[in-house]
Amino acid sequence: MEIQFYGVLQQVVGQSTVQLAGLPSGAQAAEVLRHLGDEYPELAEHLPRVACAQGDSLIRRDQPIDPNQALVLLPPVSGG
Amino acid sequence: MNRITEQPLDLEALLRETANDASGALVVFSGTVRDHHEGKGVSGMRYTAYEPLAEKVLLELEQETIAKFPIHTCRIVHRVGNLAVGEDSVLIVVRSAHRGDGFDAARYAIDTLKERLPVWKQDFYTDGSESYQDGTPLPGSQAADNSEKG
Repeated sequence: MEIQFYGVLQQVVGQSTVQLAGLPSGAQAAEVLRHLGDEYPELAEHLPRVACAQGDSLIRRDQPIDPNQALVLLPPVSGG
Repeated sequence: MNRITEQPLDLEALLRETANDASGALVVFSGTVRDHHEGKGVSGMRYTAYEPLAEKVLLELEQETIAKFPIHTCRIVHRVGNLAVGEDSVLIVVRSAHRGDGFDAARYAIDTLKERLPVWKQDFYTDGSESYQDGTPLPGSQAADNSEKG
């Protein structure tokens, strides 16, 4: 599935989008983040402070994700 | 005007849009790019947003602020893209019958925006370096959930 990065995460990974394979169907957001941390160890220290979204909604870590939509990773925000 | 926009923010348009005869008070908050951050000179900033969620967050925050305070209107717009020192990054316009409610509502709106809006600030410094400012973890992150529980 597609993972999109925003803010500092784009710098950390060096790209704005990656494809993540090998996720079980019905995976929760937390599981996707674990896979992502294994695949991209440079992200590991950021993941506890990252929120997840799909479309215009935030998703909790224990929520199953829709594999047909990108999972969007949002680091701590600094608007204003 | 979209709530998230690459265009320079248009205060006059917001004032025209929100004008009404019942409001005796108008409070405008403007966030402006300043020329320093943590002791370093800043030459400009780049703001990025996750727009599908950011538009929704601002709409809901306007509605929430109107529900929470005795005010008539609340409009919020936030700029994205490259901004120079002195340019507005955010505008909040509140109109109310009385000034106290207007001040309270505008403060609530900007304080809450800083906790919820998926927008990121990247500073460009006068020494040629750049960095993303650290910020507030959004609800749903492990850090935010732990701090709620604590």
